[in-house]
Amino acid sequence: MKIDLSGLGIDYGAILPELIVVGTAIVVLFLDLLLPVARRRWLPAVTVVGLLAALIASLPLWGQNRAAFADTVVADSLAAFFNVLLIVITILTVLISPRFLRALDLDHGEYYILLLGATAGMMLLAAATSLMTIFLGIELLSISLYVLSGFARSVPRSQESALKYLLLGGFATGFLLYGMALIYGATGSTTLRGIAAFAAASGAAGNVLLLLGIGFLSVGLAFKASAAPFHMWTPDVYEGAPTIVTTFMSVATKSAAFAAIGRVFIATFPSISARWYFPLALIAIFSLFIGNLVAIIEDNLKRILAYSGIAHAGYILLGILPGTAAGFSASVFYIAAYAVMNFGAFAVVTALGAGGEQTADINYWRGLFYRRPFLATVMTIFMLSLAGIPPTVGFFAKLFVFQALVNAQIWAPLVVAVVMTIVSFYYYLRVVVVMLATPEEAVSEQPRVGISTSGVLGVAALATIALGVFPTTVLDWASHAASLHF
Amino acid sequence: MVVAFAILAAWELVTAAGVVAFRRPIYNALALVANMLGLAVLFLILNAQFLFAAQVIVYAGAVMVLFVFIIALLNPASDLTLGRAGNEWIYGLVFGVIFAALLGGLLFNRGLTGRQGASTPEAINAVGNVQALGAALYTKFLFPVEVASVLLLIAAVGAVYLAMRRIR
Repeated sequence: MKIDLSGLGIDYGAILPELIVVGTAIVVLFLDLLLPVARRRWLPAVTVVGLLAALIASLPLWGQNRAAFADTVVADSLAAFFNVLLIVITILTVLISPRFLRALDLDHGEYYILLLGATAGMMLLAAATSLMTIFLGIELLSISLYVLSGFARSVPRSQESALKYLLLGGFATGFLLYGMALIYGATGSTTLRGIAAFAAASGAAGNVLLLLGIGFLSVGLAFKASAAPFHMWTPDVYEGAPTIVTTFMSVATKSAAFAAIGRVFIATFPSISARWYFPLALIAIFSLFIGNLVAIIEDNLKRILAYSGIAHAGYILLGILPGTAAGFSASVFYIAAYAVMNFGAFAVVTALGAGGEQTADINYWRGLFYRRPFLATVMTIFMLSLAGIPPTVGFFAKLFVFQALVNAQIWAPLVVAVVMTIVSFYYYLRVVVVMLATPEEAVSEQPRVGISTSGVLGVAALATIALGVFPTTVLDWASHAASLHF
Repeated sequence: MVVAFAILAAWELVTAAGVVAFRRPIYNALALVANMLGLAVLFLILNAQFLFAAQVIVYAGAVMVLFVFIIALLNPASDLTLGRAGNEWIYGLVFGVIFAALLGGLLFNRGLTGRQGASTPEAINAVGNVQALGAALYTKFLFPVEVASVLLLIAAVGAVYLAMRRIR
């Protein structure tokens, strides 16, 4: 038989950022093998250089719409936006990693390889336009993160969190794959373009097979975005995993998952939005309730932030509900804002942990202003932003999402979101109040955080405020990135 | 064909339940072998002869033989102390029944309308089973296949890291 490759759309330029990230992972793999132990600190440097190259390669994709490889991936503004966001998160993570890893005696090269693998998976997920690539992107990022959460091999809690994540993740993957199989059965196509064409035709809204498939697919994606009621793994995994891994995972995984959710619901199934509106609204409301209410009773900062992350998944989902590009652009802006502030908050926990301190318990944070004024100040900024208090970026993120709901005349979820935002002030401000409280014992000498860590924290804090003062530029980018269509 | 499918589906369900229900690892593994073989026959009645052979050789054969050997050689039963099964399975049963009732109600009321993809039996028989699969893998699904290779590489790195004894 004759094989025709002409219509395939082989376009390496469209996947160049992903190629560079994977290539860097392979280079790091060999360097880890060849370099003497004393030179091991080159690995993070090589990783950062590779990521910077991928960042530069992502920029030309802005404003394009290049479907490549038989419609399995696309290079468009949304992909470019998330590439930049994910790569910046990864670079910042790598910059604060060596100090933390050395403190915990985890300074192995595999860490950087797996981090790059997870980043490649997330970038792929954000660019995926076929059920096959969505699945492979999710698996690539998941498998890397399973191992990373168990990276502290001698710490039982880390192992426990990895096992929990693996088992529940496998369970969620089952749902995801089942949903994909049903969607393929209903539409006869694996590409989102083909599925969108089928969904736009009449009769799709009554196709049980398709609707069941969308339902199962949503379960799988909501699990990765840790939206309630598929959030059960989040607090335990976030708490048990090494803090640096939690920092990366909490921000990057959620961003990539929401990019895929946007592509599926906004670009592929807008024609049957009446069918998915209600379940999605329910997931968003559940996330808002569970995230914000349970965070109040937690005393462990990693768990508080885990529940706050569940709540924020709810806010981001609210922007999907209108089913329009305008609503989705509010979500995209929210994702970027969440990435900056939540990364910062976890990075402070990481910075304290780099001294090998028992930091996650909130009692340890009592009087932090008197011991570590810098860390406490930036933590206050991140907490205020997560709560949504102006002039931080968190305020505008919530404002834009609420605005999108008002424009679409969606009231019930909006009321829940506003009430829950007020509830959330309690646990975010509690952290600030605890840090301000007078310490019970005398202040002991503390190790310094190091230049790269304080630099990263300073950049994140500055970005949190700067984006809050000038939100329009990023909002313009977000609305450009969110204008998806097939 | 429907009868064959019904028998196979029942076989799959029973063996899958066996994978999680048996209390001795070797029985779990053997139930998984039985499950994989059933899956292979499912491929066969769907006219996918090559996948049938691959499923038998790779999964039911190679992978499961490794599983069974490891279980037989290392005898993890001596390390494993399984507590008495708790009552968690009741929740699973309740939610499973609710879920199945919902699905069943939906399916019987509305019926299923699928749509055939490009690979109909006629189209496949025209070029041959293996050729059709190979052509699909290296044209339409070229990119996913390449991504799968990256996935395997990362998985191998992770597995080696987790399995290695204290290094360096």
